[in-house]
Amino acid sequence: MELTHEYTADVEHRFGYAVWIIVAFLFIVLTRLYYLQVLKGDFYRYFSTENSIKESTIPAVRGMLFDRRGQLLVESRPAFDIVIVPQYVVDPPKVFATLSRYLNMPVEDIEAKWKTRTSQAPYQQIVIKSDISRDEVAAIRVRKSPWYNESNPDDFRGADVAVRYQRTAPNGTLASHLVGYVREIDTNRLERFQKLYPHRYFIGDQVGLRGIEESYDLMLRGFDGYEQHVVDANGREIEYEGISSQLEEKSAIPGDSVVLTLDKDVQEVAQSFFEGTGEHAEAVSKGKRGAAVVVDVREGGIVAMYSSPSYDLNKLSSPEGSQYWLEIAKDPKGYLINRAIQGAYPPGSTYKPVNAVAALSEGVIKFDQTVTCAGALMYGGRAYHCWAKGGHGAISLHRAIVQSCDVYFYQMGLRLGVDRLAKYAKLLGLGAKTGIALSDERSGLIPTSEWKEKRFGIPWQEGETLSIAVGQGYDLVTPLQNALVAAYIANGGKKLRPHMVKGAYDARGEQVYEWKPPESSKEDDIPISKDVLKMVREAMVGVVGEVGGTGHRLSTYPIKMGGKTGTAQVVQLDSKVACIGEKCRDHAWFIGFAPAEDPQIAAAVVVEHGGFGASAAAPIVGAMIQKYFDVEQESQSE
Amino acid sequence: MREIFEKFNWPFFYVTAALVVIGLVNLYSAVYFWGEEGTMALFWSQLIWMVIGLILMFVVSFIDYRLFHRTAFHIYIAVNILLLASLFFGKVVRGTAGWLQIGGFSMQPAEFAKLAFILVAARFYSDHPNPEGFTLKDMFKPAMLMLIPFVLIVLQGDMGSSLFLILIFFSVAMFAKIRWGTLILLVVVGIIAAGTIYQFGLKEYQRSRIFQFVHPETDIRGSGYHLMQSKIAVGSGKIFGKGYLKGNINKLRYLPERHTDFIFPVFAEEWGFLGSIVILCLFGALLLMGVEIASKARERFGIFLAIGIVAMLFWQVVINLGGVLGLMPLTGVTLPLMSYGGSSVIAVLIAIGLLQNISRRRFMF
Repeated sequence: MELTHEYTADVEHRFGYAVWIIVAFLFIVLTRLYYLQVLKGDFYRYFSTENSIKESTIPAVRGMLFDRRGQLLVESRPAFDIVIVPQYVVDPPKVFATLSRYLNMPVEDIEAKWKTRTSQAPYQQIVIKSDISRDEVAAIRVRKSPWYNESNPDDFRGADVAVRYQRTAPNGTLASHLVGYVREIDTNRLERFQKLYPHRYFIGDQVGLRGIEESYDLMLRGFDGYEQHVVDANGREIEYEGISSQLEEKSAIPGDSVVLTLDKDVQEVAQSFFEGTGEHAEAVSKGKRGAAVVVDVREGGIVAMYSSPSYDLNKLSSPEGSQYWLEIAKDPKGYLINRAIQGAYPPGSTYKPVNAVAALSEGVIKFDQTVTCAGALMYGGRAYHCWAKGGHGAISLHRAIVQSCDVYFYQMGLRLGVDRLAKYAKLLGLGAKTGIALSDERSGLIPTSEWKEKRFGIPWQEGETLSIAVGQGYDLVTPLQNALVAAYIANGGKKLRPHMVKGAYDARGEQVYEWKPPESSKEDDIPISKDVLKMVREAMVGVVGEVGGTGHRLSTYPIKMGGKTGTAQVVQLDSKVACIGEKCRDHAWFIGFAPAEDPQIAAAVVVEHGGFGASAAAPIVGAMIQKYFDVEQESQSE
Repeated sequence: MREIFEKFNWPFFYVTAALVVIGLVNLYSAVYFWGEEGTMALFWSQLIWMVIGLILMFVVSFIDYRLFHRTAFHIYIAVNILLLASLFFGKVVRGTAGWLQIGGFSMQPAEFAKLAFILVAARFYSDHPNPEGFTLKDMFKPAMLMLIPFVLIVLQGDMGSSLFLILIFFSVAMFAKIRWGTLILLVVVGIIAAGTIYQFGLKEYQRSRIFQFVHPETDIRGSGYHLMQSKIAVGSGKIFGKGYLKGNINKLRYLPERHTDFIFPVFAEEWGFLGSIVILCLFGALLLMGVEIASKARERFGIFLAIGIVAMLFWQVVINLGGVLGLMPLTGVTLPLMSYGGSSVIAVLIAIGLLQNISRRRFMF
């Protein structure tokens, strides 16, 4: 039989199914309506007239931060806020006046906050005053009566005390830049986050800004819970038979706690050097700006990252936090800048190991070939001086690094040219962001001839090569980048992903996140000969270990270290303008690693206007490294 | 002229008209607040949409519907182009990017995509009669026809509308007799494909939208509260209701999305169990008359077109009522002819016009 459009016999009997499905559905809905409206009608009517369901948020406790050995860095403590729930406010001016009386707060301030209610649901609360004292909590709890009486001058209908958690740190200025802080979310971020992570962010929420608090906010914040209560027209909670089974409650899920790669004790060494506390009260770095970074050369974990001046996280999370924030944000000292990643400085002589790597790799000189240093190099009718006025005589690469001979590296610069030098600097990670999970990292600058042509429209001058060869001129590096240069020389070129988080644990102590190095192969290593890196590494060991080395003072530590001093000129040596005073003192640098034979950690320290690297920066690196191995030994013997 | 009116399916029209009138009267209440200025503009624009929709319904019912058999693919392609356009130039409303601005008004092509898919699906099944039941190979074409608008609508973030394409697809396919093995296989293939796209083809925020749709309970601050208020509104209506414009749960703004997703609780609160029975009967009549029209159609295209439209209306009613009454998760789906929304009103009235058309044509062969 031909099957045509008119052939319908095959579907004839199926219309019945459709009818049955529709009828069955109507029956189910009818039954449900009968249950809700007829059987439970009185119950729901009761709620719709005199009473209503109030829903309150149970805030999730934000996760804690620990150092690599489980020492507490930041936690959350309970704090009490006075809030208004607009839906229960009957007489707004009277409530404002009452609150103003007991909170010592101008009525206008309360009114200004009240205005925000139009942008949210009436059952969502408005915070009037945060982190109130226990006395204030008591004053309101005692006077808030369950009955409202016209003759009573107080009207608390709609006002309530809410619990919240506030960040607190045992040592408020220890690692503020790395840790970051939390503030109430602003509208821009809220809009962006609500789109990216639906239902995770709400108006009035606390959100991490800067540092780990920002980068790991989703992990730390947890999930808020909620509970429903039945309240009467006066906003008073009431009990009603059989209601508990109808009300929903969901407990909050606390945020995950994060374990950092940071070592609290090592970090404290840096803090004490810059703050000038304890045994370092006389340190050159006291009160100066600068930064210290320690990195694990095997995996890239950040062991310490301190930026000076630091700010106090505890002050920032207090109710006066906004005022404090304005103060430090406006202060010309730049409290909020994380100099470890946002401070870009000329590397000075700490750039010489980079130059040496380039010279050896490109074969412009052999390891034992010498160059004669007569105290200065004449180039283009100008004298380029070595710091040692008398000169170093015939000097080879090893001693040139040990004694930090400028003339040797001027020569290398000339032989290499700007672009070949830049190639190796970039291979060692300079001139580009390291990709650490912190916002606003700076990339620094490694100049090339092409860059200058583009930037200034004039070709590269050979004389400039001499400046950049010893880390002056256009060269700019961040302390983190410089720590990584030391790490690459120390670890033989194993590529590192700098990171700060070792793992995360949920409230039950289950590990929910573990940092793992990305799948890497041998090709992923930095394409620089291991022999070249070894020669430079041994020369850097000589800087500390050999007599006459610029960092020889660190040889008093039990741990054998390698390193390189640096003194970055703030004002050009040949400048005709005399510059005297603190502002013109050179930046002091030191990069180093340890132990000398089998390096495990590397460090970089810069002290702004600290003068000589050997006296201002080297002691900080030495003390941090020694501290690291002291605590390692301690935890092993335990 | 007399002939036209005699052949017009008047009972079916009366049911439609009753729903339109009740829908408008109830929407007025939903946008009317006590002591405050309501959002009456919504009511007036809905009134205009209803009038336009009714005119289109008449126009559609008097065109020979076999014209749609010939032009099904053209309509389908045009709607897909609109979907694509709204994906790139669309305006975001309530987290969904599917709004296309044309001149002074905006439309949601997703509403029309359902109809366009029903047209091409009806054409496919009418051109390929298969009393033995469809195999997986046979289903490739209709599945692809469904997937194209489906993916476009998912990318806009409108999970509700995209879900309908799947429901309509399976409803019509089962009616056309799909082999059980094929059906199961299709579901498995669909789940695997969806999982793959979910994992690798979507951006993070698109993934989380789908996650939220599938797990509404994770919206901890939203849905629990909304459902509770919805149940209070419905239940407090009791048998006779609180009276028109007297539903206090609605009027005191406890109910969210009163004029769209939660339109039924507004009605149930004010008209009670008896009123709700009337609405239920009207929807039941609409659907059952649709099935009757399908069963009396003389040729396959008409049958499948009618069944597709009934499936579309049926699922919309099921998912909306099921959600607001707490029988299934809340999904943000509107109730046909009751909820506010121009594109939805017009698409539904055009669909009803098509049913009217099929009903009339049975006298002509």
